[in-house]
Amino acid sequence: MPRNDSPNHAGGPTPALEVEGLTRRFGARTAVHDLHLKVEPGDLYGFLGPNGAGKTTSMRCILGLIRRDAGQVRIFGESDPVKQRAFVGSIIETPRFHDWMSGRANLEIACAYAGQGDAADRDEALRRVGLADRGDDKVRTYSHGMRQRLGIARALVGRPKLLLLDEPTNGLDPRGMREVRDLLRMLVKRDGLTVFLSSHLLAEIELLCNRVGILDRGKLSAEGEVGSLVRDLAGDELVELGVDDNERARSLLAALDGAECVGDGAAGRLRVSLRGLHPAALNAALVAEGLAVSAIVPQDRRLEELYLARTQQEVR
Amino acid sequence: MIPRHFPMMFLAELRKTLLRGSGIAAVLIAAAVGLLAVGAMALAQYLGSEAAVNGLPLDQIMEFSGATTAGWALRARNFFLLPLLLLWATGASFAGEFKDRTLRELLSRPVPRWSVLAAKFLALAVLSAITLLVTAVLAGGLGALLFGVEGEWGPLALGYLASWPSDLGLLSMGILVALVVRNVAGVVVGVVLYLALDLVVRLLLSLIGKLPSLELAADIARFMPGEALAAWEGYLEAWSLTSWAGLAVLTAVCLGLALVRLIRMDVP
Repeated sequence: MPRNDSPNHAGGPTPALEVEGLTRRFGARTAVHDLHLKVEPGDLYGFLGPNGAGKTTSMRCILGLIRRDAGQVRIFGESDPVKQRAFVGSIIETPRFHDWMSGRANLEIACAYAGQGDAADRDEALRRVGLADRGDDKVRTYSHGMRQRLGIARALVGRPKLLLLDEPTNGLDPRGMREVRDLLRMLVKRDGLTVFLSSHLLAEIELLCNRVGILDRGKLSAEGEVGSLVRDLAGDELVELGVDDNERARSLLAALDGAECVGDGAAGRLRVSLRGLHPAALNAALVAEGLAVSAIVPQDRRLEELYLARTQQEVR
Repeated sequence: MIPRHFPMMFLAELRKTLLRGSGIAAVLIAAAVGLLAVGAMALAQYLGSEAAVNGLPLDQIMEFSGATTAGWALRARNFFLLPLLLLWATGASFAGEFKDRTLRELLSRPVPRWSVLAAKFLALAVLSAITLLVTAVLAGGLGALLFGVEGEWGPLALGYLASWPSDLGLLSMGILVALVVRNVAGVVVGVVLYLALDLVVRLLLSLIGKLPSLELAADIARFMPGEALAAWEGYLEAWSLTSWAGLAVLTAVCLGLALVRLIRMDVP
């Protein structure tokens, strides 16, 4: 197993993945623009972005599968692309195999290229993803979900310290998705792996990852710990407001400093963003104007809102 | 630096090369060529004086021996079908893996790209050697059993040996084309079309070379790739240093360009 636990210049642990100024152009189009990322050892890092934002291109550049026009990538402090890959297991897009060979034979080829000749490792990788009893079947007989799991097993060959996974739960049923999530959590917790994961599934990232980066049209628009990013989204607090007259409430909110109606909530309530205005003060202001306030319900900010806010133009 | 696990990479590639449809077909066709040569020779001997070519009975113009049988088998092997199958195997190993995205998995591993090319090239070289061996053993062995061991075995053995580097030259061309067209059928068609064009150009140059003060054209024809790939034919009459030098240059240039292409190539 490759080891590199040496501290960096600042004395802290060497980052698992450091990307500085990564840029990749395809003709006139810049797919990834000046991307900076830092993934610490033990992170479960979610890499989010709409289709075409540059996630897969970034991951290919990190793996050295495609050239980068500018920028540097260091993996556990290593900048040599060949040595870097000794630390990495990966799935890019849909994992592809030699369909006419068995799952085990495909893993044996991966082992040969990873320099791992130990049959026990292959069997352990198959067992981990629940394919121990189908390992000798030809891959052409596998379902999409089984191929996805075999892809994860192959990524684990060579005992990597960093997993780069592009949509790893793609095509899995809910149970399969949960199994993959549990497996990734276990790999981080028990084996000390670092996981860099791209996904369209925001709920999945929210459930799984401690840190996220949001990519929008090739640029990183937000990065940080999931909770703090969501809290800091707009520096406001979101509540749902129940009143007896929504139209009058909208007019009052429009004239009120520190409050803004941002849409309709559940059960006929209004969604209100509070900027520096305490909910009690909002209640007092509405009651003073003769409105009957039935509820002021604080709302949890979700990753989805952060995502939509940071990729707004793309969504519109 | 050579990866310390390069032998494992080579064995993995050899396994794929031999188990693919193209690899199996190449070995089977090599065996069929050997057996057919024996069968054809046995038929000719059976017909004997009853069949004639240009008025001459077969048993007068043909020598029936193991060496002759193996010689005919070699010429049949190198003529058309086996080169096509070797090109197919080359296309499957490079263009096929590129198209199937399995090449991406290999290039994601901690190995330099040149070593991937080297492992695949060596595996294809072994496939070529196996097909030569199969044809030689079946045609030569059965031919010797049926028709006797007389004949010129030494030059014939050199012919079989010389066919291997000629195959390597063809494989190198195939690898280069595979990394450009990235399509298995395109490799076979591309190389065959090129060799057909090469043949036409060589014929034209030879004709032009017969004209006074244009002898240089015939010399140029001798340095063309098609001539180099036929270097093995030297065992029939005389070895051509020009052809061997051309073959060495062709192989080195094709592999060098293929390597540059693979190193610079974006892998989706």
